[in-house]
Amino acid sequence: MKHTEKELTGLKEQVGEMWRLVLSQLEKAKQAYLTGDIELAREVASREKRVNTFELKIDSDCENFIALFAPVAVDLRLVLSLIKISGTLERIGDFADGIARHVILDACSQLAGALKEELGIEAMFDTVISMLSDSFVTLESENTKLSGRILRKDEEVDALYRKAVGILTGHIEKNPAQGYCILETLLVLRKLERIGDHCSNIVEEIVFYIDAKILKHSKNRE
Amino acid sequence: MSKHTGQNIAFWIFRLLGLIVVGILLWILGFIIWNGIGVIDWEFLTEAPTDGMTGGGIFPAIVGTCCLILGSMIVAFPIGVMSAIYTTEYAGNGRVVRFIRIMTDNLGGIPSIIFGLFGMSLFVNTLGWGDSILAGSFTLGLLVLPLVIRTTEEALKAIPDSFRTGSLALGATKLQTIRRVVLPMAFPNIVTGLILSIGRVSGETAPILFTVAAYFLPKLPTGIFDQVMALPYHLYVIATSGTDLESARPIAYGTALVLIVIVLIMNILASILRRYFGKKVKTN
Amino acid sequence: MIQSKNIDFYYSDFHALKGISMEMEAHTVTAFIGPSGCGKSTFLRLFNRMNDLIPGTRLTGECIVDGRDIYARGVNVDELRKQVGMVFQKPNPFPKSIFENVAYGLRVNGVGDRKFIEQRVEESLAGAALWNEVKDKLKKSAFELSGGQQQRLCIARALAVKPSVLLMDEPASALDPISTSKIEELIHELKKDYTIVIVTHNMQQAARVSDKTGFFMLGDLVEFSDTKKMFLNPDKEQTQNYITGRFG
Repeated sequence: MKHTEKELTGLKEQVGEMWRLVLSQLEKAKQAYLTGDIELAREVASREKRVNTFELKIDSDCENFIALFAPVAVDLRLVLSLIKISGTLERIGDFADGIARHVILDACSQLAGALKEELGIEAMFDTVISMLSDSFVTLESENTKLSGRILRKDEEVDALYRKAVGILTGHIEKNPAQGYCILETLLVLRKLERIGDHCSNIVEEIVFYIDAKILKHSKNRE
Repeated sequence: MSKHTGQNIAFWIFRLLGLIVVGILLWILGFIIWNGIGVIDWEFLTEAPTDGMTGGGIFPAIVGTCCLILGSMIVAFPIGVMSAIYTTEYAGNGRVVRFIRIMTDNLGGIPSIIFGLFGMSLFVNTLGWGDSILAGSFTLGLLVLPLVIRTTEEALKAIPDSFRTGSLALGATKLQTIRRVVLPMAFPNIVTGLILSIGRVSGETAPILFTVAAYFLPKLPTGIFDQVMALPYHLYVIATSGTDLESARPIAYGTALVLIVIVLIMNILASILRRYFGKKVKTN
Repeated sequence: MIQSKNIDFYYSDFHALKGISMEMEAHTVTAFIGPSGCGKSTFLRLFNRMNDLIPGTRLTGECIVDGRDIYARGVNVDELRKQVGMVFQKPNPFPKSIFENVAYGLRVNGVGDRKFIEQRVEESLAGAALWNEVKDKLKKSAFELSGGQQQRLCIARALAVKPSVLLMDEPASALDPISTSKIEELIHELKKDYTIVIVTHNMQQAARVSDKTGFFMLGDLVEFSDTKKMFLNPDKEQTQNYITGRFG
């Protein structure tokens, strides 16, 4: 293997590790949120720093690679997309951390499990988690056939979010006393919706890297 | 025996052989100077021989040699340079050129006495020029032609092709390129070759034997159809067939000294010229 | 505009160029890249018929410069070389003064008017971004200039005969980085007035100076496209492997 390729593989591996970390953060945040497990939520919050460190490390390694190897073509596209992906992963990590902090505050644990059920929060969690892991598979396999499915899942997340907003609106009218917790819940939902958006950005970056197609801001995502 | 001592011994042998060569050269030079310097004076250089060549000077022979040098160069230089230009610049590397080259080399290997005979039969007899400066110059010219061609070829080949292509790429014709770029750059080396061939010409005896040289001719030539005396032949004559060999001996050494000095001056001139022009057109 | 139609070129038995067709627009810079011996220099030298100097070569196809097939019968090669200038890999100024180097092309083309020559020499040196550096020493030998200056002198020399096309055969490969960047700057400037074709081993240089890039390999034109596209997303796997250094 050439020296350049070794360096690139190293970069890719780092991003993969960060990916696994963010994925586990998200899964733990889900667990903590659904079960109200404060210990677990604390663990998530404390590991947020590691995510940030990863981003800084990957950024500087990418900068070095560009400065020293002057990559072109597929190499250039890979490095550029890795920089953006690591930034995006860090944002997703932030959201997982935000959800964990919401659990730690423990202000709304009395909010009925039935409502969570009705809002489809678990489904939202599962969808964004599968988006994140599928996009990782896409990068690893360098095969963009999954990308369409991932982008469609983002639409599911958006639909769930809009539906949940409707439900919460009705709920807040019936139980004005629970207003604070309902808004908090809305923020959690909002975060999950954003995670979905970020995952689609990641997929777009991967498609740019592999096929050099620019999907961003284009209507025709298929 | 270690590698180191082996090397030392080898170098000492090489050094010794080198010194022997130089020693022999110095010995010959010293011998000639020792024996010849005594007779060299103004009269020796400017007067004709007298007393059956046991007295007087060698002036007619010096003049004759100069005439022959000039004449042979006029013959050899244009022909040699032009044919070298043809073989290196125009003819490529085809069969004809290789043939020409082989023939040129062979020409250079022919003993000079053969040139003398050839010159006699062609220039003196067939063309009817008689024993004359003209016939002698042509014969000597032919003799050094291979040398002139070879040195000119080498001089031309030493010019990197990038100068030729550079010139051609500007829309210059091949002839313009040769005239304006290649020849000026090759000039110093061509001149060097020319001077070396002058050295050769001034020392040759055999080719002039039957074509120009006079045994004894105390007057100076008036035209190209005149015979002349020449230093090498004069030296041969007074050393072998004079009326009084013993009393002519100092004169013989004096003549030899003059001849050597002329050749030496030519060679020194050649290396000075080469160095001077070499600096001027040095490529980076 | 330069055009090649289905060019095949042979050195004796060696098939050096295989069916090359491409078009280079006026006032653009086209770069040729590819491994050594891929035919890029050979192709470049077709356009001022420099390959004519090599015995045993054969060409089929058409080479069109400014609407004229330059290999047609009756084409005056010397005139063609005035129209299509060339800069070589190693700076090759003549052992003459700076002034005479630039004036050379004019003189061999029969220009004798001293005023005219002086003016054209100044224009050309200015065009090659060298005038300010040499205006006080025009009579000095060209060999006193640095390598980079010599190369710009060679460019000025080519400009003096007013070509429409400038061929550059690895013009900066023998120069240090600063001289190289000066030459590259110059290429950007010259683009306004000339059609430039440059062969380079330095891919970053091709990327920096050219509008379009052609990638040659084993006598084939593998890919010819916009430089930006070539270096971000080449069409061919072979191109990608070469420019990313995974070749061979």
